Formats: sequence, C-alpha cells, structure tokens
Amino acid sequence: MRWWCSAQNTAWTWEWRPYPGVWLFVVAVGVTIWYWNRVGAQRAGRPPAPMHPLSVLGLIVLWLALDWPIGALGAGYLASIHMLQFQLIALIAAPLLLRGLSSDALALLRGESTLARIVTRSTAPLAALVALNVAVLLTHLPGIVDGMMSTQVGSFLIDVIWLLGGLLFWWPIVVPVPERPRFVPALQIGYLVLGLMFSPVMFGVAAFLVYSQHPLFGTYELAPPIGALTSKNDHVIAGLLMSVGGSVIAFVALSKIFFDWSKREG
Amino acid sequence: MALSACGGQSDAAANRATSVTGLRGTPLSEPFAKPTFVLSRTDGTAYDFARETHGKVALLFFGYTNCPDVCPLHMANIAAVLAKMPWEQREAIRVIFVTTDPERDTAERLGTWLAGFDPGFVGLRGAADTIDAIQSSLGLVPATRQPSADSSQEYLVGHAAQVIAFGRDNVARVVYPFGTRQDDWAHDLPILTGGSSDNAAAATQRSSQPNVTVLERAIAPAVIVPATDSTRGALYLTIRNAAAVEDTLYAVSPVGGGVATLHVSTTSAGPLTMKQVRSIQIPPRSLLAMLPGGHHVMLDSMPRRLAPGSSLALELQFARSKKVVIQGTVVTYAQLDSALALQRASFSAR
Repeated sequence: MRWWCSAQNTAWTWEWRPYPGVWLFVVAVGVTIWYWNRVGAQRAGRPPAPMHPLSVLGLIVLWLALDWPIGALGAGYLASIHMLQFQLIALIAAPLLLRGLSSDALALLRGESTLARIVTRSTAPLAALVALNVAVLLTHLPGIVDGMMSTQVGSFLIDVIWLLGGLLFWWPIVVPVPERPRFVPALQIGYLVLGLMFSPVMFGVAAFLVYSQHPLFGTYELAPPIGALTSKNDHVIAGLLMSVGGSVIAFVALSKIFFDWSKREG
Repeated sequence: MALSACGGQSDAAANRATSVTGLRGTPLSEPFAKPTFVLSRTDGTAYDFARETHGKVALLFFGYTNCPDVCPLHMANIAAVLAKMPWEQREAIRVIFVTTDPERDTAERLGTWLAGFDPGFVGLRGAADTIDAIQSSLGLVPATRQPSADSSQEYLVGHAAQVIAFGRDNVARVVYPFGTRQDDWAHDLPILTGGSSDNAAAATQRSSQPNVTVLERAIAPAVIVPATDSTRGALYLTIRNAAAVEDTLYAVSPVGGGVATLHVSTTSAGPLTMKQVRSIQIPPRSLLAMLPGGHHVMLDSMPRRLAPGSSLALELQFARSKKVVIQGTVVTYAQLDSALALQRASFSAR
C-alpha cells in the first residue's frame, strides 16, 4: 500500500486505492486548526468556538485534491489534473482554511516571540506575493516535477509547498491584521491582480505549457495514456487552467473585497 | 538497459554505449542490417519489410494494441513529432508496428488502432512462430503472454520495449527504449533522414514555401540492361535540373517490386570499382546523365524477368521535388549505347 500519491508506471484504472498518508495529513491540518483555536480561546478566557464552516469546506477541498482519484491522476497521469490540484490546494483550500482561525487564535501570533516575528514578516504582502510565485515557479520546473513526482516523499513535498505558498499568499487578504491598516481594499485588489490575474510567473508557466513544441513534463508525457487525450493537449489544458483558473479565483475574491468595501463605505 | 515492457523481460540486443553518433537514442554496440521478412499488412496484402523500407528510415517496433503503456506511448510520441516535420523528412520515414499478439490483434483492430495515431503507420501481422523468429533474428527476446492483474484483460504480452531505427542505408545503429520523449525524436529523426536537427527548421521553412520546393525538372525514359540471370540489372537515367537550387535523387523504387540502389563506379583508386551511395546530387541548372562507368542504379530481386523490349515503372524520390513515376525500357547490352544516345537525343529535343 502507498501512503501518498506519486507517479507510477502502471496503467490507470478506476479501481479505488487508499492513501492513508492523505487522510492523516488532512486530519492533522484539521486538528491543528481546532487546537490552535482552543488554545487561543483559553488564553482569552472564552469558550472555544466550533470549527468555522468555511474551514471545514477547506479541509474537504484539501482532501479531494490530495486523495484518489484527483491526487493519483495529478501525481502521475495528467498534467491538467496536476494543475487542478495546485488550484484546489493553493488557491481554494488555503484561504478557506485560514477563515477557520479565530481572532483569539491569531492573537497568539502577535507579540515579540520569534514565531510571531516570522509570521509577521512572511505574511507581509510583498513577501507573501513573492513566496507564492517562487513556489509556483519551483514546483513547475520540468526537472523538479519529473524528479519529485516519481516518489511519494517528493510528491508530498510539492503538495505541502503548494499549501504553504497558498496560506502565505492568502494571509494578507483573509486574516485581519490590525498592525497593517495601510493594506486597504484597493491595495488588496491590486495584490490579487498582480499575484493571480497577471502574475508573470503563472503566465510564464502557462505560456510554456501551451506553446512549447513538445510536452514539458516527462512524467505526464510518458505516463500510461488515459483515453484519447494526447500529452500535448493535456499540457495545453494545464496551461489554460493555470492562467484562466487563477484569474477566475482572483476575480471572485476581488469582487467580494470590492462589494464588502462598497458596503462599508455606504 | 531494460529493453522490455508489459512484463519485465530483459533483452541483450542493445547495450548502451558512448554515443558518437550525435543521436539521443541508445547506440547499438554492434550495428546490424535490416532483416528480410514478409508479413501481412492490415489490408491483407504482403509486406516485404526490406523492400518496402529500402532507402527509408524504418522505425520497427514489436507490440500489441492492448498494451497499456509502452506501445501507445511510442506510437503517440512518434506520430506527434512526425506531424510537425517537413514533408521531405516525413516522407523518408516508415513506422512499422508488428503485433506480438496476432490472436487478439485482428487486421481490422490493428489497422484502426494504428490509424488513430497516424494513418501512415504500417501494421503487420503474421504467425506467432514467424514473429518470434523475426524478433530472435534481431536479438530480441520473443514476446510472451503474462497474466494480467487487470480483470478487463485476459492476459498481457511481455515484449521488447525499444523501437529499432534502421537508417536509410538499411543498417540499425541505434534503438529507442521506453522513456524516449518527443523532444528526443524531434532531435534524432531529422538526423536519421539525412538532414541535421538544425536543418530541420530550415526544411520546415522551405516546406512552407511550396513554390520553391518544386523544381523545374525533366527526366528522360530510363534505360535498363539486365544481368545474365535477368532478375538483376543496371538502370541509367538522365535528369535535368533547370532550377536555381540543388536537388537530390535519393531513392529509385521499382513499382512492381524489387530493390533498387544508387551506385557510382569510379577508377580513382585504380581499377574500376563500384560502391553504393545514399543519394546523388543534381546541382542547379545542370544535367545528371547516368552512364556505364559513372552513376547508375542497380536493380535486384526483381519479381519478374527483365526481358529486352519490356518496360518497367520506376518511382523516383527527390529531396526537394515531388516523387515521380517514369517508365524504363529494358535493352540488351549490345543495344545500350544506341539506347543511351537515343535517351539523350529525346531529352535534347524537349
């Protein structure tokens, strides 16, 4: 039995396969959020609140992205599903999970502790923007993808990098930071446009996937074929997903920011 | 090097060696000549591998249509690269897929499956014993049935995983194991066809300008002199290249069967010697006149006697111009000089 999805040289079948590492990981993320909120509430002298529904939704999205069949298809068969995984983990699950952190829990990260300083610096908008783009670039370089997706540990690391990159990127948008009053909605919208809609890194990766003469990733080019989808077309779909999917998610997020802002301004 | 798939066989036909070929495929430590075998095409007609692929780059692969991985990947990757190659290079390549599962791979199924990749791919069937013997002659371990873990398949077939590439000189020097990527094929195929990978871009550019690739060319009827056994002979052509760019004659194929190879006779090293050449250049605005003691075409293994007075259709292939079919007339040796004079005279009259 395998604990995490990775590329395999076996033909794809729709026969369900268990990946216990995925279950443990999703449970661990959920328990971390729950425990963090509980400690925060205790410190604040308040009763712990139940998990936020959006946080539960984030856990479900994370599980769907990592487990069979999406996880298995994305790890070793289709570049397009690999890209869908990235979007689900970094761009959808990450902000939903952040919504589950209570203000009491977040208060634990403020102050002069080393952890607090690391969190404050790494979640500053510019640092977070750079972090996501570096994560995207590194995890889509052909040599890294082909080298890491063939092992369970490598595949796990890529998924974790996506989740961490997504958490950092969404932090300035989702988590209220009183110390950062200058990051007003207009700047948040600009941040999303630059980070997702017109990210040079994402557009660059997407352009390479769509316009390269031959498939970029050997993992997916040499994977046992599924249906009539050619590896080149699979790469084209992956590129389109990266550019269009990121823009759609950014558009939804910035629309919410804009309408909330409008409502507040009366 | 692992040379098999779908069952984990190993094979010792090819050993990875230091590449001195400039190719990304795996060089063979001992190159070998194209084998001779005849199998059935998917339309039921006989396919003489050596004859049909003579002078072409032949990519020979043994596999089966129910193969879950190696076979469709090789075929898909080769097809994807061929689709982007210029016509001149694509035309010089033949992809031959010999089924190692003739029981399930009916002619119809094999034909449909291959056409899904490229209608030009040749599917061949034959008796299992024959196919085993062909594989053995190539140093491959004959394919074997293996149990399938997948309930949708009765069995898998373990078979060699490499594509054997025969050059246009009918010799295999390199194989392409499983794991060969489209980028590798795109690099190597132009080299195998005679042009360099760098030239491929230029060739692509040329092929996008069809008016430039078609030369003004005139070809006189061929003159054929049979050898004593009448199944072989020498053929002489006269071709005028009136265009401002060079063209190359790289293949002559008797339409009804048989093998033709380009040769040149020379006395530069002392006594008259004859050697096979891959192609014959025709400089711009010049005349290629084949004569005894110079360039000529050798005919071999002709399916019917070369009887004086009979005629023979021949297909000529050029690097830049379209292929053309001409007629050749068989004459006796005593008639050769006058026939060649007549050939040149008829040519001059044009």
